[in-house]
Amino acid sequence: MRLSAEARVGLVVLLGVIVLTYMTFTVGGYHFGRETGYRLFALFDTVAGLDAKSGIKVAGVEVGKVEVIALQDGQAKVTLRIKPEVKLRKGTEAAVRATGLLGEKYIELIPGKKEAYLKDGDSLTVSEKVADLDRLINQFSGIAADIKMVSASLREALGTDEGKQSLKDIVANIRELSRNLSVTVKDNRENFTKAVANIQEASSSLKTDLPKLMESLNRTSEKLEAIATKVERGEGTLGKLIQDEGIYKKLDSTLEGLSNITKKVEKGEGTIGKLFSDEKAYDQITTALEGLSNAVTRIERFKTVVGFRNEYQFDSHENKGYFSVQLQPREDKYYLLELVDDPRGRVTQTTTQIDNNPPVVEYNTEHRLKLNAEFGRRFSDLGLRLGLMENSFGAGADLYLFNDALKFSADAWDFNSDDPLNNHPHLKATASYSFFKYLFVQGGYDNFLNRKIDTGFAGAGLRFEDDDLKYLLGSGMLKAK
Amino acid sequence: MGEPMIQLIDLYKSFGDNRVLQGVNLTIERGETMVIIGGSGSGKSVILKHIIGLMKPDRGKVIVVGQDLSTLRERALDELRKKFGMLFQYAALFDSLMVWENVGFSLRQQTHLNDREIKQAAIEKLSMVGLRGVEDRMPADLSGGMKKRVGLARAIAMEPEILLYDEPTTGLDPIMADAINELILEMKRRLQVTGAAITHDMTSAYKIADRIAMLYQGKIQAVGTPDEIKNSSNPIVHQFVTGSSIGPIKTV
Amino acid sequence: MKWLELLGVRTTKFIEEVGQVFLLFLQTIKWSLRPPLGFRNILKQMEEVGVRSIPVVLITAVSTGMVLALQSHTGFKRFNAESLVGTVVALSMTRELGPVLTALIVAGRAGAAMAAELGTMRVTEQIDALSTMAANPIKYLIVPRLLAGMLMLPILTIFSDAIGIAGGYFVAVQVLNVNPVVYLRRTTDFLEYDDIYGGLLKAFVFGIIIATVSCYKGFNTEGGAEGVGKATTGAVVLSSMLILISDYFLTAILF
Repeated sequence: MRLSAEARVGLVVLLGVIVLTYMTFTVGGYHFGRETGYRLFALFDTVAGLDAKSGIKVAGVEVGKVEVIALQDGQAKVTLRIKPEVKLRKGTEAAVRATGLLGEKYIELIPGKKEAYLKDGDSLTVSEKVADLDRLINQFSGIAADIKMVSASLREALGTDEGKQSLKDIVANIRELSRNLSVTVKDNRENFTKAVANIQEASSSLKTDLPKLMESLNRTSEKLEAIATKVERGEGTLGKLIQDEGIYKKLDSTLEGLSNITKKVEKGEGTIGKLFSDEKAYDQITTALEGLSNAVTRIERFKTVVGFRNEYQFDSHENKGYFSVQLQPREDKYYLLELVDDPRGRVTQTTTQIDNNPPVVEYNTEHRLKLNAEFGRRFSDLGLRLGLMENSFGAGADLYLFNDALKFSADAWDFNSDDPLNNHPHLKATASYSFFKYLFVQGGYDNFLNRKIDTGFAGAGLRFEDDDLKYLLGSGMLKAK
Repeated sequence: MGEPMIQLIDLYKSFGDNRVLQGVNLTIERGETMVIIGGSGSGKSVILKHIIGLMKPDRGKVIVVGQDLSTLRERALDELRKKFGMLFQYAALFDSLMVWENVGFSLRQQTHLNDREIKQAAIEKLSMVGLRGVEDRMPADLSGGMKKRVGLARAIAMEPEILLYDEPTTGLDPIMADAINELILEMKRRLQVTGAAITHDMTSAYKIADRIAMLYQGKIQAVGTPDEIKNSSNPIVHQFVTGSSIGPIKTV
Repeated sequence: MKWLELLGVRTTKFIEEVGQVFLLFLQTIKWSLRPPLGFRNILKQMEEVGVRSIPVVLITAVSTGMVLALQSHTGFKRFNAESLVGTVVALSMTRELGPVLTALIVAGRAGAAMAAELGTMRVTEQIDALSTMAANPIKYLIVPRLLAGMLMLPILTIFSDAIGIAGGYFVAVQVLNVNPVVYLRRTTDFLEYDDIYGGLLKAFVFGIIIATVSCYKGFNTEGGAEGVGKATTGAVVLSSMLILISDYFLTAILF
């Protein structure tokens, strides 16, 4: 059927009107035309984000729309239009809520419990302050900014190829280290056992040696006694000094003089007397005394480090144990006292010649306790030591790295040894690494100038500072009790 | 004869710098056919448009049947225009309307006749210009000569007192041109109309004119009967009517 | 300084032209108030402007709605608000794209045709012929076109809105798997009468602009076939410009 021009225009207009009507109805939703339902009112402190036509919900179910928002005495008076079929009990409370962070605001009604129903024109109580989403969002955005900053710096550190590479390297290092460690531990399990045994041995030998030491001390005191008797008898210079009556008299008069001086001092006579009676001088002396007292406290504050370590020597399969006490009056100054259980403590040489065969030289080594007494000085990362090393003069240097965790040491002593194989000075290089506060491992090369007895070594040790000791002792005492 | 139908008094008209009319004075008397001749672009069409009020003069007056066009308001002008019929150079038929609708256009605008009556009247007018069976065709389907006839039929539809012809024979072959000339004469005879035509076709001018006016350089150079013009001693007129390129009229 | 002069000339010409268009509009209004109105002519123009523009308007609207859904979905998905696509499509179509796109298309289609037709009538003296037959060209030619534009643009816009929203719905629900119920809720919840009727009011103004500008350009055609071409182009350009300019101010005033 072919439509005339008029019919076509008519059709278009009609269709247009139909579509427009449909759209209008759809948009209007339920309240097109006459407004249906009843009105309620609520006064809010703020309805920021809420608009006319915003939803009203009870338990999330839409029951109406906001009709008007007006200002009344600085508060927002909201007119709520509730669907006629929705009945709300008195005591219903209203709150402004949002559907989400970015969601629209709506009014949530918390149904009341009273018998009576709300009717047109009633007012609702406002249940709470508006959840201040804006503030929350502000905080969130602050946090987000922080996270962003952290992640940005992380990205900078790790996101670059360089960063990735270094991260990879670190992981690889850790992996290798742990593998090495496990291998080392496995390999050295025996050594560790030996080391422990050695410690026991050392302490037992200390037990046997100690009486001897006591004996010699006894002997020394006996000798001192004898000297004292001699002195009493006026034998020798000191004895004469003490036994001479003339001298005694002189001393007596000297003491008398001293007493006179003291009296004069008390009276404020003479230079010293003036000194003592002068207030200024008194102050000066007080200050000096205070300084002295400070010095004493400083000594009291000596840091004491007690340690024990064992070195396993690869070539001789011997263990060398150390027991050390370090007294540290100042950060940069310390005294180190060490007892060393040296496997080459004493070396004796026996030459046997049977017939015309070339002589056979046999060396017999036995453990001996030796003493290290060193004075140490720290210059920043560099430390120097000087003093007695294994019963002979020696010197050493330390390089401290990574907050003292890693230490490289070089020692030289025994410049003139009676050890027949130790023809050159004893040189030792050590690297030690502290895992944590108490435990450290070390390795190095010992005696590399003397080709026959040079050896690599590895070891481990424990060290405790005095505070730790106090704790350990304290807890030990507690246990003992 | 003798009663002035159209009076052009001291007419001036310029388009920008182009001063087309510079004091035209011409009187067309009732019942006569005045043919205005002149070169292309000399302003003949402008004169015609002034007569029917399509253009307003810069200076001077156009008086039609005693009424000064410049003083007329739109509605009075439309009233006056009902006395006119105009045949345009290319007929100016409405492309969107059928032939009979074109012819009956004025009837539909001015009268309360219904379509059937209008169509009947249109067919009658078409037969007057010698056309039959074309009423339901569209103008685009017609030849130039037929368009002119339809245009003439449309011009005479309201039985006007004054007929204006803009180049009635231009673009037609000589036989068709002569037929149009015959028609113009017939209209004058049958309808007693006053005519004003512009043309540069001297054959047509001699045939349809009672008097001829020569326009040159914005002024009427000579007015006279065809014989007077043909034998004019005025060198401008003489050059134009003899169709010579030699003379005072500059061709460029 | 030549370009400065040119700029000045262009600007003055533009303002002058807009003024002329406005004067023509006033005259047309004046003539449209004078009975009788040629209803047949009005119907004819309504068919020309309205009925014949429906296919292209619908195609444009549906593709616009679909693209709008597709594009805004990309954005909203980034913060999990896919259902807001419905809101965006509905608001964009009714407030802005429906009226403006329809107007631009009608300007290109019917406006150009108007300018060409009237331009041809001008150069073939048909407009003069109308005058000589005591039929006022404004009343006879422009009034029906203006009325047709004023009436049909809003109707086309209604179709455009509906089809655009439908296209958006189709893409969102069928292609992008947005929940249809939520989508429709978001569409209707945020859409207001003002959005729809504001858009239709815009369309009404655009209809006036298209008809008046095209008629003005056609009426003032000079110089034969070439002039008709110029008038046609000029009509589309000027009406498009005026549509876009007035759209801004209408948006500012209406919404």
